[in-house]
Amino acid sequence: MPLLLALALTILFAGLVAKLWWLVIASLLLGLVFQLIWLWPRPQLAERRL
Amino acid sequence: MTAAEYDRIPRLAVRDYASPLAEKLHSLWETKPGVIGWLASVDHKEIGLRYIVTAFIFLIVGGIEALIFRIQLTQPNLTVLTPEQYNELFTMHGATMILWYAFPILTGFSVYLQPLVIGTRDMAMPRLNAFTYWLFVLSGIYLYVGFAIGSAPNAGWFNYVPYALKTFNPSLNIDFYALSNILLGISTTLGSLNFVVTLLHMRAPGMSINRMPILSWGTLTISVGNLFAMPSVTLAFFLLWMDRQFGTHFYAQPTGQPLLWQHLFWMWGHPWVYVIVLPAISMVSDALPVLCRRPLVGYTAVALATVLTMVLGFGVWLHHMFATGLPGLALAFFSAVSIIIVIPSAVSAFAWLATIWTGRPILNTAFLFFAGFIVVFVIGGVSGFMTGSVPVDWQLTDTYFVVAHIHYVLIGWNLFAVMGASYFWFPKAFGKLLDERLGRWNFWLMFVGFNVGFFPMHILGLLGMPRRVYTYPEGVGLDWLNLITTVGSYVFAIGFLLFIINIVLSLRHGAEAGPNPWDAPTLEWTTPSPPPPYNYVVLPTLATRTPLWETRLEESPFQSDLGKGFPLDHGKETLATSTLDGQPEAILRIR
Repeated sequence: MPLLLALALTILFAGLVAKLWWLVIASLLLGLVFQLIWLWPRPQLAERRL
Repeated sequence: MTAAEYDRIPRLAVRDYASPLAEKLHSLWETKPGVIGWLASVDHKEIGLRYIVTAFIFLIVGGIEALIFRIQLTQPNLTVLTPEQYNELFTMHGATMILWYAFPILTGFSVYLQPLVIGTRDMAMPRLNAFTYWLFVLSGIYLYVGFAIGSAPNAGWFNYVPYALKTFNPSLNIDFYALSNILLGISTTLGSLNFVVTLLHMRAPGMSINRMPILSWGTLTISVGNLFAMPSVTLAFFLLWMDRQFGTHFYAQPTGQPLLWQHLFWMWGHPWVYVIVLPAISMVSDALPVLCRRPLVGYTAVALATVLTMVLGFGVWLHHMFATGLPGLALAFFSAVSIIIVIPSAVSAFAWLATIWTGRPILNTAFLFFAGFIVVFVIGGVSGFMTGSVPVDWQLTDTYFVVAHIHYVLIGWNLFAVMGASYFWFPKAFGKLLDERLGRWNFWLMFVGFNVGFFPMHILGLLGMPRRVYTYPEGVGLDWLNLITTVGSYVFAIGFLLFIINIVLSLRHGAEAGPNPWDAPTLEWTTPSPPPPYNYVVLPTLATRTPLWETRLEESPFQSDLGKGFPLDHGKETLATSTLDGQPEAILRIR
């Protein structure tokens, strides 16, 4: 997942430099999906005080 | 796993790397086999080594660029390169070295070493750690894609406007540079955040903040510094991209301010100088005493000096702009801070000298690199002190003197420390010792080559040779010094080549290192070499800074307990501890 999110972000930046706005939007959406998968379940559930 | 299981008080277990507990931990923490497993790995040791290898690749690429344009400068009026090619090469060289080598190499050492030296099992956020690595690699590829398609940046690594604006650079070259820097900035910021959390909250029980190794002080300090510095440069590049692509006027005349670029850039740029040297000099502060067989002289003073250098580093950016016509009061203030910052640097230098003086040094390759580092550190510091003075800077600005200074700082303070650290920690990472005979050739060629290559640049600058010129006229006294500089840089490169050869040969035929070949006192040397995926079979409890030297130093009436500790084997678990005292506060499950 870290690699996929990094790739999505880099493709977004490639879209910015090439001014391919459809690529920017597509990689943004893809990145958001990867991010949701990454953050689920929420990390704070995995900690308990001693 | 239920919440009740996290609420448990962890039991104690005996440290045994061949026990069933160790096998269980191995299966929990190991990286999955195959290409997918390799790509998805979040083990800090694998990520750290990838950072180091990738940064060395960038170093080699940036070095080759320098060797090419040094040929152009060997003699006056040569036409090996066109002026435009020369501009692109020195820009790519500077950017690659400062942004894609100097910081990532230190991040690599930190990612590899920090969880080990503070006695935990991984970074606080291992997946974020992997993400920052991949983003760093991809940002470098992004920049070099621009280079490959003929859009290499050409305005120098600090990319001054108005030359970097579309009027003078209409192609996509500066856009590639701006956006790759923003990408790298995201990686750097997130990586720094990860270090801050890890170092403040995941130290082994008993490792209070005043028992933290200097190595960790260096990384913690620059990570906090990065969180304050990075927004400035990210904003600078974003505004530049807006000016170039959407016709805004942040920098562009008539309503924009070209000097705004310099302020935003150097508000990040000078703290960045400390970001790319403080972890390196912190490695020296931790490793050099081991080779002198005594603790560091002045631990507290060196730790405070590290923090103070970073803090003062935020108040000196204007010394890059002394020649821009700013008010005299501003020049006086920034000149004073630029000179005051010498004090904490000198504290570290005197601490190293006192450690060597009062110790019993082992004169191996790592020690030679650290000793060479101290020599170069002083020369680079003195030339920085000189240019911190306004009238001197007015004479020397934009000459080769400044080029000499930056190389003494960035190669001397960064690369020499990194080389020494590589010889010192290579046995921990690979279980083999690097060859000493090749190592000595490696050191002497690099040390002599470096000084032959870069010291004459001071004189070139004093003679008035401007930086970033693609050639120079005959008969003005610059010929021989440029020839010597080129020869020195090639000797330096051959020295580095021996390092690569040494690694390859030692990995195949090197002597077995064992867990602690240097008789070092800190936690990482209690693990097998190379360490297992879970680092510690039980999480140790510390009572002093030097747990493995306690019996001989009698530093504390308390003894660290390295024989027993917390096993935490209900999943990928480790301990969260309190910021100051290092007392256990929570069981963390890492994903």
